[in-house]
Amino acid sequence: MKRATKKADALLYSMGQGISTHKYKVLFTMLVLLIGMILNVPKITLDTSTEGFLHENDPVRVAYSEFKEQFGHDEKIVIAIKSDDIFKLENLSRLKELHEQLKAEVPYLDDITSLINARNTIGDEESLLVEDLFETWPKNEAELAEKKRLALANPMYKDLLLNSDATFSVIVIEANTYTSVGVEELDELSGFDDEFSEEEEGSSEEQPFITDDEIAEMVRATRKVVETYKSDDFKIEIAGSPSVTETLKRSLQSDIKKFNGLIILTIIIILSLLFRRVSGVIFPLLAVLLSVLGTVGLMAFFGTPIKIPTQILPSFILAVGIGTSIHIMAIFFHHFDRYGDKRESIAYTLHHSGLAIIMTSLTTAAGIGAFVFSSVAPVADLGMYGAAGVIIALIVSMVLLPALIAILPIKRKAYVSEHHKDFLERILEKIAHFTQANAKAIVISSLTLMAITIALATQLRASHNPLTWLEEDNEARIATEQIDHEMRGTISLELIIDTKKENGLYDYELLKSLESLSTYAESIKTDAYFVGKVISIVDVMKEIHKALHENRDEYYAIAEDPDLIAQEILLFENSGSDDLEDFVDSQFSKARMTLKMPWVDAIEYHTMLEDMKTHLDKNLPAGVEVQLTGMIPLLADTVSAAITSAGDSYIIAVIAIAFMMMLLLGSLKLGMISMIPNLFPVFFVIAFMVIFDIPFDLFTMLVGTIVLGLAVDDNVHFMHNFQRYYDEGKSVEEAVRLTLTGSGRAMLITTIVLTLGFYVYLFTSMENLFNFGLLAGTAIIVALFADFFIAPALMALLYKKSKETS
Amino acid sequence: MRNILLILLAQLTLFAGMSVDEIVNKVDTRDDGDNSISTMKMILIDKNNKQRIRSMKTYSKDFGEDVHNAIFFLSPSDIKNTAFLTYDYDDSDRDDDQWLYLPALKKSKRIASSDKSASFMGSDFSYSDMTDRNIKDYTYKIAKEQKVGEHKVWIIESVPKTKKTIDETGYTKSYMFVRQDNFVVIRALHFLVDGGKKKYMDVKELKQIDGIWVATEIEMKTKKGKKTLHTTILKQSDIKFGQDIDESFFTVRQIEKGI
Repeated sequence: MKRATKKADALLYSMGQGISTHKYKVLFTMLVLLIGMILNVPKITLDTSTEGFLHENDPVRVAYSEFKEQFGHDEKIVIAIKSDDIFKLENLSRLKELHEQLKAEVPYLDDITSLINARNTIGDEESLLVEDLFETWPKNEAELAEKKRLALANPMYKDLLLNSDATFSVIVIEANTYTSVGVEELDELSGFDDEFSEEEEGSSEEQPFITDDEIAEMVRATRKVVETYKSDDFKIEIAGSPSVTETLKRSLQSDIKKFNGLIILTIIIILSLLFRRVSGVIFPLLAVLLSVLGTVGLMAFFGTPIKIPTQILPSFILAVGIGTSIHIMAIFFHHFDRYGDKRESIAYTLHHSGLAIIMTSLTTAAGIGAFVFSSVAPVADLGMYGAAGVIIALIVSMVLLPALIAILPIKRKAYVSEHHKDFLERILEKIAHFTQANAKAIVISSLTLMAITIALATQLRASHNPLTWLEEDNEARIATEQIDHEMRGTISLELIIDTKKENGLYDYELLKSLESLSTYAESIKTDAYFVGKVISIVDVMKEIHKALHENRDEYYAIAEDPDLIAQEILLFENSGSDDLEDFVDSQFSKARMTLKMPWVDAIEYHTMLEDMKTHLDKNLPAGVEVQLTGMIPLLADTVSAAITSAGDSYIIAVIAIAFMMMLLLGSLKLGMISMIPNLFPVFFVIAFMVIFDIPFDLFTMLVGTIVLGLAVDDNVHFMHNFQRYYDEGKSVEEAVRLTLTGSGRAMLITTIVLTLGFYVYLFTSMENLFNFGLLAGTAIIVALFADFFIAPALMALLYKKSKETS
Repeated sequence: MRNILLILLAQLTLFAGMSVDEIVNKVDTRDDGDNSISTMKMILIDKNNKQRIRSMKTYSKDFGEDVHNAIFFLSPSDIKNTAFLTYDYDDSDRDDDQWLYLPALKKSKRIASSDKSASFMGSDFSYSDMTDRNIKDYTYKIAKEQKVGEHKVWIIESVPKTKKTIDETGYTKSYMFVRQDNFVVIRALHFLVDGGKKKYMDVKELKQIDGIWVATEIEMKTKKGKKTLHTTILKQSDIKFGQDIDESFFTVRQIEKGI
C-alpha cells in the first residue's frame, strides 16, 4: 500500500511537470471541454411540479400519466372568492365579469367552471333542460332568490363551487393536458388526413404534457386578472397546487441567485484574507465557477431540469470545489514563495497533496453519489450531478488550475518562516495535549452519545408537505389553507374503476357498489384529515334520473334497469353537456371517482391509502380493477420513496467511504476506526433533528450522507498525516501534535468555507432549505470537532495499546 | 337527415370567376332532396382508438323552409327504439324543437336548449353541423383555391356576424372547401370557442343518388393541437328520396310508437 502511495505521488509529480511543459495545450483542451458543456447552460429548465419528484418510470407516475391522458389534469387553479353573500346581484355581476375575463386572458386554459356556467339540470312533466346556471341572467330579486335556492340545493355544487352559507365560492381553471410548445406554427388550414399522412403516425405517438412553465404562466396571468377585481367585500385569493408550484418556482429562481451570489461573495472574502493576492482570488474562483457551470451545462445537455432539491447543487459544488482549490493554491504559494520556481512548485504541490485531494474528492463524490439510486427523481439527480460536479471540480483544480498558474504571472511574496507560534497554533497544541490526556473519557463519552442517538433515531418524524415549504404568510399557502377550511379540500385522490368491458358501467349492481364506496369515502375522518367531497358518474346518474322524474327528490337514485341507464346516458350526452368525459371513458368501461381532501402532510395519506385499498379489495365486485392516482398518491409515494431509498443511500455511502478509508490507510482496522469520527456528525444530525423536532424530509435526508462525504475529508488529512509522523518514529502524542498544528489550519479553513456554504441557506424563503442549511452547516463544524478531539483520542488508545502489547 | 345534405351538397355546373356570395348561394340552394329515408351508421372513435357503433333509421321531410327529422335507434340493443324528433326552423331567432323518447321509461321529453354547439348523440357533430346554416348570419370570403384530390375547390372562410351566432354554434370561424364542379362542401374546418379546439369535417365518399349528390360517408375529427381527441364517422346507406312520408309521422306520438 505504501509503495502504491509512493508510486502515485511520483506519478502526480510528473503530471505537474507535464502540465507546465504543455501548459497551452492543457489550457486549450480543458477550456474546449468545459465551454462545450457550458454552452448548454441556457437550455436548463426548472421543474417544481409534484410529479417531478418521481422518476418518469415510477409506477405511481405512470399511472398518473395514464390518468391525465384519459381525464386531463387534476391539478387546477382555484380562485377563491369570499363575500358576505355571493348571491348579491353586484357580486354575481363581478363574478361573471371575472369569469369571462379569465376565460379570455389566461393562456393554455382548457376549461373554466364557476357558478356562472355550472351545470343546471331541470326537469318537469314534459321537458328536460340542461343549461348553465346563469344561462339567463336574473332580472329581479325573486329570480335571484330562485337561483340561490337552486345552487344551494344542488349536491354537485356543494363544496365544489359554493360553501354551505353562500359566502365562499370558487372559479376553477383547468389547464390543457398537452403542451402548446411547437403546436402554434401549424398552418391554419393544415390537419386534414392526406397532408398529414406522416404526421398522422405522429399524432398517436406520445405528446408531452403541458409544461411546468406553461402552468406557471397561467398562474401569473390569473394573478394579473384577479388583481383588478379585489376589494374588501369581494376578497379573492388564488390557491390550488399550480399556484403552490408556481410560488415555489419563483422562490427557487430568486433563491438560486441569492445563494450563489452570497457564496461567491464569501469565497472572495475568504480567499482575499487567506492569500492576500489577486491571483489567489481569481484563479480558484475561476476554477470553481467553470466547474459549476460545466455541471449545470451537463444537466442541461441531458435534459435534466433543476428541481427544488437540486437547487443546492451549484452552491454545493462551489463550496466543495473551492476547498480543493484552496489546498492546491496554499501549498503552491508556500513552495513558490520559498523557492521561486513555478514549475517545480506546481510539481511539488501535486506530489504533496494530489493524492489526498483525489481521495477527499472521491469520498465527497461517494457521499453525495450514494443518492444515485434514490426513487425520488431530483434526489437521484443530485447524486448523479453532485458526484459529477465534484469530479469536474477535482479535474479542474488538478489540471486547469496548475496550467493557469503556469501561464499567468504570479507575484512572489517574501517567505515567512513558520517558526513562530500564533494563537491558533497554541490552541491546537492544547487540544492535542488534552486529547492525549483524556483519551479514554473522550472515546467513551462520544460512543455513549452515539449509542443514545441510535435510541433517539426511532423518534425521527418523516414528513413531506410542499405547502409548508412556503412561509406561513405566503398568499398561496394561506389561500390553500382557507379553501381547505371553507370548501373541505383542495387536492384529490382519484380512483379509476375499470370494469374491463365496454358498457361495463351500465350495471345497476356496479353503480350501486360505487354509490356505497362514495358513502364510505365521505365518512373518512381522522384527526389529521378527512374526505371533503366525493364525486363520480353516480352523482350524474342520480341527477339525470331525478330530472327525468320531474325533479322529485325520491328519484335522486340510480336507475335499476340497465337499458334505462344506457338511455339516460344517451340523453345526457345529447343534452349539451360534455361533463360526462370528466367521469367516464368513452367506452363506459372506466369510471373516475374523485375524493377531495385537504392538504396535509403526505405521511398522513399513507394509512388512508392503505385502508382504501383494503376496502376496495373487499367491497368491489370481482373482475373490477381499481387504480389509485392523483395528487395524493403522488405526494404519498414521494415520501415513502424518500424514506426507503434514503436507507439504501446511507448504507451505500457508509460502505463506500469505509472501503475508501481502508484502502487509503492500508488497514482494515484503521479504516473501521476512522469511521467513528466520520459518523459522529451524522449521529449528531439525527439527535439534533429529534431534539428540535425537525422532520426527516426530502432535504434533511440529504444532510447525513453529504456531511459524511465532507467530514471524511478532514479525517483523511488527519489520518494521512498522523500515520506519516508516526511512521517516522514519533510518539503518538508528538504525531498528534504535529498533525493538528500542521493540518489543523487547513482543516479549519475548509470547515469555515463549507459551513458558510451551507449557512447561506438560512437566507432562503423556503422553510425546508433553512433546516437543510442549518443542519448541514452545523454538522460540518461538529465534524471538525470530531477530528480535533475524537480522532486523536482514538489514536492514543489504539497505538498505546499496540505499543504496550508489542 | 337531409339537413346535413343541404350544406354539403350542390348540383350545379361550374361557373368560373364567381363571387363569394354566388358560391355560397349555390351551396345553400343546391337540391338536397326531400322526403328521404336512410339508414345511418355512427362510428364513434375515441382517443384510444376504441370504437362504438350506433345504427339508426332516419326520416326527413321539408315543411316549407323548415325541416322535420325523426331518428330511430336500431342498435346497440340497450338503446333500441330510443327515438329522436327535431323541428329545425329556418328562422334563426326561433330555437329548434327536440324531443327524445326513452323506451325504458316509456316517456318522451322535450329537450329545451338554445345551444346548438352541443354534441349530437355524443358524436363530434354538433346540432349546428347537422342543421342548415343560415347564410345571412355570416360574412364570407374566398380564402384560397386549391385541389383536393382531383377536384378543384374554393376554400371559403366564414365568420359569424354576431356573438349570438358564435354562442349558438360554438364556432368562431370556419373554412369550407366547396367543390367547383358541383358545389358540394367536401371538407370543412371549424375553430371552436372553447379550449382552442378544431374540428375537421371530411367527406370520404360522395355519391349521386337520383341525381342528387349525397355524402354517404363523412368523417368529423376533433383535434387540439396535433392531438386527435375524438373522431366520428357517419355512413349513410339505403338512401331513398321522394318517399311518401306522412306529416303525422313527425310527432311525439309517432316516435313513441316506433317503426
